[in-house]
Amino acid sequence: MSDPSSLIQNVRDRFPSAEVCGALSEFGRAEEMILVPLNDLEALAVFLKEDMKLDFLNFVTAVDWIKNSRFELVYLFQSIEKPERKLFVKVRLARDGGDVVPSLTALWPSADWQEREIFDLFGIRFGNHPNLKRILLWDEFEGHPLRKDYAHVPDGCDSGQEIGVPVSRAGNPHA
Amino acid sequence: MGIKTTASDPVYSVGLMTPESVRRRYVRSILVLCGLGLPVAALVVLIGEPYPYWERVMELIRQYSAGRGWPAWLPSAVVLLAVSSVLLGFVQGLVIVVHWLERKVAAHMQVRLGPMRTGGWHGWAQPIADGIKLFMKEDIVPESADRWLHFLGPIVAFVPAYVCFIPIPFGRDIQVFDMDMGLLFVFAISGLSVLGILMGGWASANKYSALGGLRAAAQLVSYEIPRVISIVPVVMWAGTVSLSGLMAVQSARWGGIFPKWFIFYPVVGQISFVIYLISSVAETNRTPFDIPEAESELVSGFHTEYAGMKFAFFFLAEYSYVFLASALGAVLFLGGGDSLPYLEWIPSYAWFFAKTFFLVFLFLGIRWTYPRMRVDRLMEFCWKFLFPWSLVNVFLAGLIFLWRWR
Amino acid sequence: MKTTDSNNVQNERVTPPFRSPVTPDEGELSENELWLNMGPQHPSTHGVLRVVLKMEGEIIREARPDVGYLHRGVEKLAENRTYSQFNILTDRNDYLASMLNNWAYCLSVEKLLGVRAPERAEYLRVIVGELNRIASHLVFIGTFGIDIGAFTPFLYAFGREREMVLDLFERLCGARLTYNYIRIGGVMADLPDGWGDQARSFIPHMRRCLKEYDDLLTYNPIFLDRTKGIGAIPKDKAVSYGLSGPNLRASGVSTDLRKDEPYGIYDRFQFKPAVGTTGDTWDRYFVRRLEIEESLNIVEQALNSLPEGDILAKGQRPTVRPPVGESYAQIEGARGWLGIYLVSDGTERPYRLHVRGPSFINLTILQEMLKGWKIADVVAILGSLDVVLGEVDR
Repeated sequence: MSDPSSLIQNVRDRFPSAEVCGALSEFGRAEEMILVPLNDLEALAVFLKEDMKLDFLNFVTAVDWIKNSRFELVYLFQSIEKPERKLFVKVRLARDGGDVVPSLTALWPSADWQEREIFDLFGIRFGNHPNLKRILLWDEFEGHPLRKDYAHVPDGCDSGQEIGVPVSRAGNPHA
Repeated sequence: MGIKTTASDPVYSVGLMTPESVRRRYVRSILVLCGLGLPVAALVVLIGEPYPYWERVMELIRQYSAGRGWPAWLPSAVVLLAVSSVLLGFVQGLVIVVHWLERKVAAHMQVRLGPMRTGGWHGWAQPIADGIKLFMKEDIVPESADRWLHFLGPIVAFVPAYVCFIPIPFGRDIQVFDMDMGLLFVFAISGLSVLGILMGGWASANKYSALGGLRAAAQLVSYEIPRVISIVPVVMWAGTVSLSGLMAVQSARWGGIFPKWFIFYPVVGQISFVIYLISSVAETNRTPFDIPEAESELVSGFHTEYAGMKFAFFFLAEYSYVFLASALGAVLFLGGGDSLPYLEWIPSYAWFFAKTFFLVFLFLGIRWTYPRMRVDRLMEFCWKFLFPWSLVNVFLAGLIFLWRWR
Repeated sequence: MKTTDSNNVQNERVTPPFRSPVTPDEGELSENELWLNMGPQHPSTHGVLRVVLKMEGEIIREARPDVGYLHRGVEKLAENRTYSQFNILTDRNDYLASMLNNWAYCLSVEKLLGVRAPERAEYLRVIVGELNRIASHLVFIGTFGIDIGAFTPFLYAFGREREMVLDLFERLCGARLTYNYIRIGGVMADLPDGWGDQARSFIPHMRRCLKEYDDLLTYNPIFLDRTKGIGAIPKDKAVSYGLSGPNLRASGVSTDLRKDEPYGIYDRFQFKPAVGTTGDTWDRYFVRRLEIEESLNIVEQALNSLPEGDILAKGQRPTVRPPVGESYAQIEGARGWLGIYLVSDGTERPYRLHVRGPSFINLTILQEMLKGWKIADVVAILGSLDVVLGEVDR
């Protein structure tokens, strides 16, 4: 059971729509990730928690693939007794905001703040979340900063210069 | 375990203070203290008890007044006024000393040095500088505060702390006013301070202050009870509530040699002393029992919204209560100005201050050793432990005194 | 004479330009209840956490934590920095254990690159990582003491022992708080002369001092009274709330990434993860106190078996350009599982970087935990969770 491939096999047996999508770079081996449709996420989470004994929701985060016009949510489910038993699950949703992701807060309260953070910084909505409010930013904040199309404020790192090369003395108050 | 700094590297020690230089400074200070202290001590021993001189001075004043044909009450009234002002200044000086001591003792318990620069000698002028700073600070009153109560709070807390010193005998016959009811007077008046704390806490219109004030009221009222009961055996034993009388009773000797201090009285004396000490720490709002101002919970409790001189009043009240509690402890349990056998040539006030400062030191040690209790456990400790035991102690004392008087 | 006191009960206060999501509403209160605003400026919120408490007398009926006062948008900043430039920002996340933050980040980039740090660098990482864990736990012991009201242990732990660790780090990399010592592919500098001896002499000193803390704090009756049985987290709750690190182990789960999913060279060291039983405040304190001892053992072993060799992978340049891909590295940080999720699009800047900050996730349980306890326990419970707001708000 501790073999991750069998874990993925189990998931794929149960959820035929799940597909392996890419792998995480590890030194020796590659950590495979699976992609499930949005509709299956909740059922998969229950399956992983109840049947596969992956009782620990390690983290939830999102990636903005602006060129493909979609968001990708990344979940890491892990077993707390055997941390090497883990599964990266990805979910894709449209970037235009039509999709609502099922919240995992009822299964794992640890998802509560992380989903709020994703809502805050990406603007992804979670259905049946008990308290979906901004968490790091204030309510009146406009926009979602971690979206790739969020207005970019130029800073010193925009010059594209190599590290170690000082910015020209003119106009640099610290030089 | 000394202070470990990168000794060779002066950059990381404050200024040029390395452990070596600090050690040198301390050795030099001890030498200086001995050099200054020995002549003073010699003078103290030579002069001895001040009472005879005082009698003579009073006699001269009375004669002068009588010569001028002034009414007979005038000289004593003027002298009483003068002595009270002197007492005020004196207590203020004591508070400064206690405060400085607190900072130094705390610092050395905590592997640091405390104030080292103000005044040049081990930061002796630091409390004075702090006082000046507090004087000059802006007096900030919150907008929504009850201005009158906010103003009255520190005064009501502060005045009783000074009035309480009136019946304290600082040695044999060194007393502003020898009251027959001295002990009761001290407890009655010192109980008033809680009103000031409550006023300050309520008037600040801050929830932290209000919580602090309410906690203070609950705590001070509760601990007053075991504290008073703990000294009942002393009173039963001595048969007087006059502080000078208590001192006089304890000036005798058991078997002609052993000092007849109440703390040495078997069982009852020790229980009384421990209960008195614990409840006194609680009465002065200091660390295991400092819930009214609990910094980590209530920010500063009742004095959160106080700045400048008003804050200083609360502060002075706290330190004078520390000294008062120590002084009372010295009088009630350690014989006050009574000497140890064969050391009678040291004057009584030197003994009094030695004992008092020993107790002050105990207070400081307790403060910087223990964590803070929780508010409900604090009350439980008072009502379920100290209070019953102080009653048992009274009962025990009664039995012993009945069976064998004194 | 105007003050901006947030606790004024009588006056309407000036409305701020924006409302925080937890801003209390007087209308929600029943009789005998009040809102108490704790923080962001409060002596014991360990930075700028704000907790709005609904209280009935001294008892908490509801707690609403409000985070984000320290939000710097680290994850956004990462997208505009090269991989090496961002290493500097990892220091600022959990600034009490910067080495471990460097480590997690570098490990994640190394996984992307497929570069392994040389043997000696791995040992040095273990040594500085464990020393930093000790320093971080010392801050915890000290500040937790202050939360409980014991001021003196703070100056022992923070002002004496931690100072010695910082001196070691300072000699090693010149910095005392934000080290940026662990670099992609290795470490920044080799040990200066005599550093090993200085570190070795620290170990017995620290062991002696732990006994001192035990006398002063761990077994102090008042301390026990304040912490035993307070804020207990049962095992299943701890897992479902995503607690990790010492907070999780205090609840009786023995999982330690160094042991159960060893990264670096942790499989070469003998140590026993500290595990608590009931998960109360005292257990969370004691697990950390035991962990210092374990870390000392690891440092001792690593110092004794430190091999010679390179400290940076061969051919490692400051500007790295990892291939397209994703990686996730998580290490046992001082506060829990510290993970860095990286997405690379083949340029010299990360496409997306996510920090799994253990403090952030550990803090989720706070609103649940505080109910029914007293305000003095709020301080103890919050202190025992040992969060660093720099990591919570990122």
